[in-house]
Amino acid sequence: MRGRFVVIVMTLSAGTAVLGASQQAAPSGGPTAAPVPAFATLDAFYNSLPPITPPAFDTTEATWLAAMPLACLDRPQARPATRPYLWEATYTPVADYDRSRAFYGCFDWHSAVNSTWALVKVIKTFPEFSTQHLIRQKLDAHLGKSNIEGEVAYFKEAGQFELPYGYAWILKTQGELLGWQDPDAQKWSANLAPLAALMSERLVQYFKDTARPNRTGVHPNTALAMHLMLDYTEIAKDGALRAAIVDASKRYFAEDTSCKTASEPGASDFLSPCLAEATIMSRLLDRAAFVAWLDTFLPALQSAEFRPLAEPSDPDLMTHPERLATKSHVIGLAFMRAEAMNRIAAALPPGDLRALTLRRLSARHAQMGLRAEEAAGYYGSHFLGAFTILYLLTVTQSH
Amino acid sequence: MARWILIALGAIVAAPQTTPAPKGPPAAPAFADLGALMLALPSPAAPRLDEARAQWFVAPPLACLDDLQPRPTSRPYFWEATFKPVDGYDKIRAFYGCGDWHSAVNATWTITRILRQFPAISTGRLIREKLDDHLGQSNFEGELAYFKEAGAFERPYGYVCLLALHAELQTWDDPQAAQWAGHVAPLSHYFSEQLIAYLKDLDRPVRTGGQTNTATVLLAMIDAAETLHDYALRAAAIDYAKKAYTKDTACATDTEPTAGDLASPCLAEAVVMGRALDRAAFVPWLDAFLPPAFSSRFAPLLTTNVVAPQRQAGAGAAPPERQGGGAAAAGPERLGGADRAGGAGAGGGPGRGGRGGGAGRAAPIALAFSRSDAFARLAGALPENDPRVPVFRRLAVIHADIGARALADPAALDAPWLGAYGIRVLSPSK
Repeated sequence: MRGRFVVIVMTLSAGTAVLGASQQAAPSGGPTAAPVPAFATLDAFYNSLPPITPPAFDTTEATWLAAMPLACLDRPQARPATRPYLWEATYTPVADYDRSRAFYGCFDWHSAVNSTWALVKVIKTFPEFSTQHLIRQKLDAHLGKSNIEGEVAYFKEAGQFELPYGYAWILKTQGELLGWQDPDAQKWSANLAPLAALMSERLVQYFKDTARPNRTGVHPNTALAMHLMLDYTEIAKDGALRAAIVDASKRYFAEDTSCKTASEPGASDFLSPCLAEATIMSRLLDRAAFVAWLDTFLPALQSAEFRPLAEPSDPDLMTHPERLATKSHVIGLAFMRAEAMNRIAAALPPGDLRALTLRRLSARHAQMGLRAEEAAGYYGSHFLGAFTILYLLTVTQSH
Repeated sequence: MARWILIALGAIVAAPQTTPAPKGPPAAPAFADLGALMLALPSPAAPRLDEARAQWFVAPPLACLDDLQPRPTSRPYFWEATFKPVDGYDKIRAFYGCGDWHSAVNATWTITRILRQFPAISTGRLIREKLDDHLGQSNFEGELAYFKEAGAFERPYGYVCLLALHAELQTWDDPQAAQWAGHVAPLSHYFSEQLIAYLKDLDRPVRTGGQTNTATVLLAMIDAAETLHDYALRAAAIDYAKKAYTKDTACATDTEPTAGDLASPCLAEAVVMGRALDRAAFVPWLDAFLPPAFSSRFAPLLTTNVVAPQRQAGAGAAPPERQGGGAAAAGPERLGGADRAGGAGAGGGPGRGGRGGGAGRAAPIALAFSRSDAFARLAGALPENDPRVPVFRRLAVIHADIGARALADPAALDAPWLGAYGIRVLSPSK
């Protein structure tokens, strides 16, 4: 992987140079001016993009990606550090936490869950995986019956905690386990079922009660949560949740036009609200309806308006040691954009030049992410393994 | 009280519907004009703060100021906490009772104001003892050190409560009070600076009717700043009001109040603009902003229902435990409702939900008082010959009367902060 890494960086520099030049050439319109195309045609834009070979989800890549969740699942989340006004707290881990909790590592609850999913996905994808024994041990220790029973008891009293993002990752994990003919997986999914059922039920109510979607570029983004839980609704045949998602997506997104690409990305965004919305719509609408919706929703790929989404944010520009959490989000953004672009490309008609363009843009974003993947330390490694895999699963080699 | 409410409501219902009831604006007038409204409004005597009422206001603060705020009760996910009070809390903290910080400040303000106004009150010694215990120099050194690290805790509502306490102590001609004022001053100055910075970063004003309502906060800032001669703070508040509110028209009086509201957002905004604009600019602004008092849109502001059960707004929105932190912590659900200031409970901010919920029931009483205060101030901001003046004066008395009568509800005793709303109305200082 390290060898290829160097090549990627070099190609990327070339690509950046090309885009840098085109950016200078394009006149900048005022806020009310009609969008000025950065390129006259999509064809010209496509041809300006370097044909980068996207990375493959192979065992070499996977071994490294799995190491991150392996290393964090038992690293306890930080103890609260608020300064007391009156009541000073002394903290100890909950008694028997290793038997009554499942997701206490990896910085925060939802990252512990997505790290669990990453491990499941790796050994499910590569049956002969070299470190799978270690991974199965880890999963067994965290997805035991009593662990999940403790989670259920906790969540029954936990109000809005982790709703909807953490819930979505539980369903993503459960969907993965249910669709895997493996004795361990069947045991783990049986254990996880009560928690998944509780969360599914609450999500149905959540969508019903939520009048407007969250359109931010961080955890509470509604479109992302829908995207993460959609596989589960199919595999688990959870019609109620599926219907709630479909119904909510119509209320939230069907009438949307001209997504505000200009306001992306926000300073700590780890996803593109516009692309996340397009992703979930690509999965819920049939092709003809999706293409018609997308035409009015996203600006033309070659336009100046789309440029904020086309241009990768460079995490290396963030050098301040105290901004590592934000830096990790910028890295995450690269993978989430790359995944979304591939998803949208896959929903377009075969041979559509927009699909080809999106795949090239996706590869550029992914390269930026891969290059910086380790740069944020634990702030990154506690969740980026899962994000990288989400992206790698959308790569088609015949781009 | 109930009787005249019925009369007023009866008048509204019985008023001739001159136009076929339209759904959208302009709404059918509930009364033909201001004169017709005046005839229909009750005319109660203005309630006043006598010594008996003063004693009543003093009791809850005396009882709560040393009653420690409840220890946190989050259900732990991973880190289980055992709690003990901070070492020497009674020497390095000032406001650790009365359910929450701002309620303790309001309770302290209440006994300060009462003792100042009734120097011979029989509970005077007890009050001085309490104030001396809580307003010492070391207590405020500890408070200041705490707040310098406390982020947004109690900002802005608790901050303006403290400024009001400082203003009260500062202007009280009493040797002990002068000492206490000196102790409070550094924290008060710090809050003033922080509030100016807060306004600079506040993109849009909070328009809900809870503690964090920006207009209410601005008004409290202006009041305190004028007493304390804090011109920078006064200018910041007035500039913000102009920036935020000048273009507002047609306030949605018809949607007030929301359960748990402590103030009328429309009236509070009008009052603060009465302070921010000169009279010539204020009158046309008000004409466009506030629907006529005789219109049906204004009807919700003619009375305050202090008996309706109050829904606990925003309860349960917070996560059970705060872990981690930093950018990766889960999003806005952490912020709770717009009015979640300093971890206060619903509406009135009394953190004493565990005591039979009486404090929550006190919110509409506070609303009646704050509406009364707003109407009185609005009347004062208009030219004396403006036809709205007598109507607003009358409405001020009506709401004061509703609030004063409601103090008979035992639930009012669970709200030691209520004095901060009632005393100003029952005993205007000027």
